[in-house]
Amino acid sequence: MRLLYIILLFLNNQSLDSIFDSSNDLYTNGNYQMAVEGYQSILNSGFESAELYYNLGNAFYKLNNIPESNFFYEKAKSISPSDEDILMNLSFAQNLRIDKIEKLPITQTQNLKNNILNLLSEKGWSLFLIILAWIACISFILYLSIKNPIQKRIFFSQSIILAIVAIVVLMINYEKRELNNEKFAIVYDKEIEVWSEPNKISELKFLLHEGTKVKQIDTIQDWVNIQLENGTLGWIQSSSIKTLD
Amino acid sequence: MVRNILILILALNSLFISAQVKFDASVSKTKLGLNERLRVDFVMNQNGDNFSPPDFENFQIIGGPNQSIKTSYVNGERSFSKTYSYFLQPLKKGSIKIKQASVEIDGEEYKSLPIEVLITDSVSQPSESVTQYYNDDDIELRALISKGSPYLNEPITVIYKLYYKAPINISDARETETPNYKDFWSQTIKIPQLKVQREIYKGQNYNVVEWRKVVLYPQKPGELEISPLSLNLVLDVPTDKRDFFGNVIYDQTSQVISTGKRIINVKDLPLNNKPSSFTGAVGQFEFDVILNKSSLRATESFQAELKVKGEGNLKLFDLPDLLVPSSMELFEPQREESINTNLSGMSGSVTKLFTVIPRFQGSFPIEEVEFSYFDPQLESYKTLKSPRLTVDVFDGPTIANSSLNNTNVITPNDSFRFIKTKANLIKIDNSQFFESQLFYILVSSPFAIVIAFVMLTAYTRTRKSSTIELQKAQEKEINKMIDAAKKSLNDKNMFYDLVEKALLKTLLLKFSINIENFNKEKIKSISRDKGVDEKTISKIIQLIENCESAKYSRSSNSMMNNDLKTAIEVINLILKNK
Repeated sequence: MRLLYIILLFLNNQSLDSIFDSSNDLYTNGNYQMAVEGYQSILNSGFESAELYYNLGNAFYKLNNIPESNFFYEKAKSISPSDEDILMNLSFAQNLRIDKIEKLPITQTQNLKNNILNLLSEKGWSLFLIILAWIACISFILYLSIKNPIQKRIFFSQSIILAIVAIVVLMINYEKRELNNEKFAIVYDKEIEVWSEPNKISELKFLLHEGTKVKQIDTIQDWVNIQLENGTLGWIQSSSIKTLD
Repeated sequence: MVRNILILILALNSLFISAQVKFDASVSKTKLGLNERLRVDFVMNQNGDNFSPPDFENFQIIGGPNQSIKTSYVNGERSFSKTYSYFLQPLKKGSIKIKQASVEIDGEEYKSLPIEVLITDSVSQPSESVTQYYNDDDIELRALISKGSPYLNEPITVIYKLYYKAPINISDARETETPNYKDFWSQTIKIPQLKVQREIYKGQNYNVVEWRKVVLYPQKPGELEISPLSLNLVLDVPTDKRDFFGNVIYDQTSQVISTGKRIINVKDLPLNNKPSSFTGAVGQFEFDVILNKSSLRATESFQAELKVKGEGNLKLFDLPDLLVPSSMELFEPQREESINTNLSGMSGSVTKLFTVIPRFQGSFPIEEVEFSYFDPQLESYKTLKSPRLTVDVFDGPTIANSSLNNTNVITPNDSFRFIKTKANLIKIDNSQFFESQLFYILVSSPFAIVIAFVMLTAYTRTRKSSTIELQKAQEKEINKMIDAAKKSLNDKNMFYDLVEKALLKTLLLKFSINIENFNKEKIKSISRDKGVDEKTISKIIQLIENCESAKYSRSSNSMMNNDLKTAIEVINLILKNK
């Protein structure tokens, strides 16, 4: 039964790959709308990849759809954060945005931290932690059971070092989860109003335009508290943004 | 000159023809009030020289002398008269004598008769004053408003017309009160020259002058007031007086005339269906966005022109702004207007000119610009949209906004990257692995294994040590039994009992042979299994047999010693056995 499922999945994958390829052909021939539909049918059947998101972003960019292209490039970036193609085309899409938001400066340590956190995905870090724990424990068992004093010493120090590394990796895991719990969203409406409170009788702070990336901090009913990359806070209506999971 | 010569000839003629010289003085009235005027005429029928008037004592000369000459022929007879006229104002009451005047005719001096005039008190109404020969209907100032209830920002015109009809003539007019168009945007249309036109009004012929023309754009809904216009007119009005020649004498009088206050009920624009891009434009417009370049190098500039053309309140609304990506530099727009204002309102075009400099390469869409206006004729809003335009920028840098190293790495010749050809699809999995159940199991299991291992080793070790101790205690006990057996060599039964017990205990300890299934065969087979050599086995069997037989038979001391020796040997052997 399980085998059958795997085979079905494999076949399914095969057909999805062929959809992907035919969509790529459509893209190459300039039929971007059709290409978008093809890519989205793959998404709808429950599959994803950085490449798929990237290609969707490209097709939307060609269709001059600013929010969608920004959205899918960001999605692709969240899966593979250091892909050069993705970063390049994301910057193209960002150039189309109307809002110009200066990023807050990042300190050297923050930069280093981000670099480390982005080395592996969240799952990758978790798996790494598991592997470390296993190796450390096996070394400890070996240390306990082996009689040869030299080998015993080697296994003991190895297990201690690995345990320390595992603790560090556990902390990284928590940091990574914190980072991943930061929810970002892309503004989809052409122009939205940002208010100082979650109602329309408060002060209107400024306007945002499509394609701008905002950080979601809090949600009250259909209002979202957002933070821009320059640190500015405000409330907008949740219907005008689309959350990047 | 010609006229002078003619007069001279006529005068010479009269010298010959005239017969009798007449020189008379006459007054317009002999009795008059102090505030009335008097005219005195000195008439001669021959032309004379050196006329000298009297000194008009107690009178003030207001006008004159006016000299007039009249010549007429009646049935071939020529009549001539020359008149000197004076207008006099009496200075005191009572009877005043106008003295003689003299004139020289043909070298002879003639004198007029003195005239007496009676001056009475001032009369209340100078009988010579102007009689007002017009009624109020004859003159009217009207403000003609094109529409009484316009929409907000819909143009209306106000024309101020002055109606007057004969016999009035207007010689001068001055504005004393200028209307104040509060809450209106107003523009006065210049009237280069005031023109008198004829118009039929209220069924009568009137002379009409358009005094002022104004276009108004109401800026506030509700009842708006237009304050009145007032004119101070100088009128030429006929009097009942006629001059010498029978012409009506006109007198001048001034009159202030004004329009009333006018209320204009301005309708607000409808609230429903009001487009969000509406900024107050009312009229009929066309809208367009024009780019002067659609493809250019980065850092070159292009111009985007937003143009609204048509009729309406062109000066009174702002054009929508252009939205360009933040990577383009947008300069302050320039507004250009070319608007004509006439009676129907403003017409022409307004342009907003944006200068844009793209900084980076790429294909940039210029957002659709929406322009909405209210059409007061159709009474509905209209929204016009510019097409979505694209600007291709080539030859420029791209921003690489990498969040990894927050610096903007500018790589000049990078271009938009092509799609990826390999899918690498995986099932979408939004579940979090970190801190999931599986994660906890996988992380904690090695530690559990370590703990289990440690516990297991500890347990086996303690168990081992406890059996050894037990064994030692048992061995000790066995040794004690042997020692006791040594001491009781004289008591045969006790001796063999102890030896047997010691042997059985040893077997129990080492080979786990229970006393219940204690038989020789079993001992043999188990001992063999444990690797005890045949000689020792036979010794054990022998010993057991000896013990059993000794219970029922006598036995010598040497035998007992022998058995003890064998028992010690065998027990030691078994105990050493592993």
